[in-house]
This record gives sequence, structure tokens and C-alpha cells, in this order.
Amino acid sequence: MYDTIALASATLPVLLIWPAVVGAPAAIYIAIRRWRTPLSILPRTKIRFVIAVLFALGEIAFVAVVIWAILKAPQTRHG
Amino acid sequence: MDKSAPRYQRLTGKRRTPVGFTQLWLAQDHLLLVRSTRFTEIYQRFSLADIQGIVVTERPANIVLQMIAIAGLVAAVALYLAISLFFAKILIALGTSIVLAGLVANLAAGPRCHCRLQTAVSSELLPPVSRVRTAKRFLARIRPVIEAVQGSLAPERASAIEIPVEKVEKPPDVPNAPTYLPETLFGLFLIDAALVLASVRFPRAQLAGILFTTLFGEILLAVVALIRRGGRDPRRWIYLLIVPAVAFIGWDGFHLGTTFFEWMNGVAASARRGDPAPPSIQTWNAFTQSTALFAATWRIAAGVMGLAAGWLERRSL
Repeated sequence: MYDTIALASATLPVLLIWPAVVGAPAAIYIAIRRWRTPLSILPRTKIRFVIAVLFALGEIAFVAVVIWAILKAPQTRHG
Repeated sequence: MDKSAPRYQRLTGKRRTPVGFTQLWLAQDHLLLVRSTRFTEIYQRFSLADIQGIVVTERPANIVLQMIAIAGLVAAVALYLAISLFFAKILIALGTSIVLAGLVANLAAGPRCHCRLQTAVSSELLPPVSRVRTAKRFLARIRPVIEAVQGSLAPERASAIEIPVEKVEKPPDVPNAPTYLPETLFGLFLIDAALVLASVRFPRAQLAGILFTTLFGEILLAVVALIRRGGRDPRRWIYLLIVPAVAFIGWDGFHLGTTFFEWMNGVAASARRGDPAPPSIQTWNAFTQSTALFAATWRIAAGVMGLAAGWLERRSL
């Protein structure tokens, strides 16, 4: 169930905060790599992959903003 | 999806457990029992032509559990009225609502039952059919489909037929490939051993913060590996190693918590004294030399032994 693994990689690490730095890219990688892999013999949509990618992109954007804010903060203070 | 693959129709809802769910699906010529751990699915097919019988047995209500839940609810309401702390009231209300919802859902689901499916070679329990109401719906749906394959049999004719007793050999069990969960756990032991030693060698690197997460990961992996082992993994030594490791992880976690609590006490004392700044997190020594040595040594030993045992046992399967 690669879609469930991708979704878990995108969501569960957020509970412990810093593992999301690894989990989010991993979720995107799994979603892209396994997009065409048959998931189950039962009817199953790709919605978990989509949610995982959206969630992971959100996390990466959040981390990028935090890093930008940290780098920006001293300049603002002294400027 | 493959065009030649069977098209399945859902027969029952999901019977959920803490570690996954089971569900029944119907194809043109067979019944499919799915056991899911959410990350993996195990399928078991029963050809409609092979089904000899379906036995539904009503089970007594789970009165003891319901009484315990009601007693707990009464106690929670009394506690809610007795205390004045707002945050605690919210927690109690939340917990009580969840238990109440579970109790109501359990009662609304109706009488419980067991459903067994009989073939010439097995008698399989169908966990998704656990309520009488579900069983009735399931039988109403499956009976015409089976009769379409096997033909119908009037009761008076059925009693006149003598079925010859043929001994049919049980088919060989389909082996489940053992997971790599124990190996992952022993690999994590080795990583954590390095982190523990590094946290003592480089105290300002704040590696203890990572250790909180990885220790939690160790506990989670150990518990899941031990729970999932039953019937799936024939290896023994690798799991025997995990059992004492859980106790050692608990000891390390206790020590980590104690030192963190001492550091928090220092912060509180600093606030009481009116210090301009509280002690930094960098002053927290998660492990002393001796405890770090103990934590790293047992992890290295368990990690190496576990990986070796896992490899050797996997080869002998």
C-alpha cells in the first residue's frame, strides 16, 4: 500500500516536528515513484497519493519559510 | 488496473481493530477475505463452488465490558463536577464523550455473532461478519450467488442425500514473507548508540532532543514487531532479543526523563530566584558518562546480535 505509506510519511512525522524534514520529501518521492504501481486488487483511487503530496508540499513550504525567517531575522534587527 | 482482473463488489463494511481491518468482497466466482494492516493486504479467496456451508452463531452480549464502561462514565461525571480546573474539565469531557460514543455505537450495532465458512479443507472464521444484522445481510447477498454456481437444494432432498466421507488433505499453508521490521529496529539501536555517545562527547550539539524521538521510535518498532510476529514470522531468536531490549529502552527512557525533569526543576528554581535568564537547554546533560556507556553498549550488542540473528534465521527459512 504505497499510497498509505506516502500519506503516513507526510503526516505522522509532523507529530514529532523535526522528522517532517525527512518525511515530507520521502512522501513526495514515494508518490511519484509508485504512482503507476498497482496498489491493490480491490478498487482504490489515488487520492491518498494526492493528499500526501499536497501535505508534504505544505510542510516543505513551512520549513522554507521558517528557514527564511531565521536567516532574515538578524538583518531586520540590525537594519 | 488489469482488464482481466476480477471486479470486486463490497460485501461487508470494515471490521476495524487497532492494527488494521478485515473486509469481505465478492467477485464473479469467489469470495475474498481481505486482512489489512493498512500498509499491507493479505487476501484469502474462497471459490463459490467450494463453499460447503456458512454457520452463524449468536454470541452473548458483552455485559461486563458495558458495565465497566457505564461505571467509568458515572465516575467521570462525578469527577467533572468535583474539580474546578478548566483544562481538566475539557479533558474529562472529551474522554467521556469518546467512551459514550463507543458504548452507544456498540449497543446500536445489535447482537454479536461468529460466522464460519466451511469448505472441504478448512473452516474459516469471517471476522467482518461479527453482528447478527450484518450476518443476515451477508447471507441474503451470498446465498443466491452460491446457488447460481452450485444449484439450489430443497431441504427434503438435502436430508435424503448421503454424503460420502472423503478425507481431503489440507493444502499447504501459503508462507508469509517475514518483514524487515526487527532488522530496522536493530539498525536503529546502532544509530541510537552512536547518538548517545555523541551526546556525551558533544553536549552542546543538543542531540538529546533527537534521542527523545528515536527512543520513542524504538519503543514503537519493538511493540509493533512483537504484536505482528504471531503467525507471520517463523523466526524466534530475533524476537527473543527484542523482549529484554524493551526493558533496557524503558530504563534509558526513565533516565532521560529524570535528567530532563531535573533540568526543568533548575529552570523553575531560576525563575523563583528572579534570574535574568533561565538555564539554557544546552545545560541539560541527558546522559552521564556511565549511563551513556551502558545505553550505548547494550544497543551495540543487541544491534549486532539482532542483525546477525535476523540474517542467519532468514537464510534458514
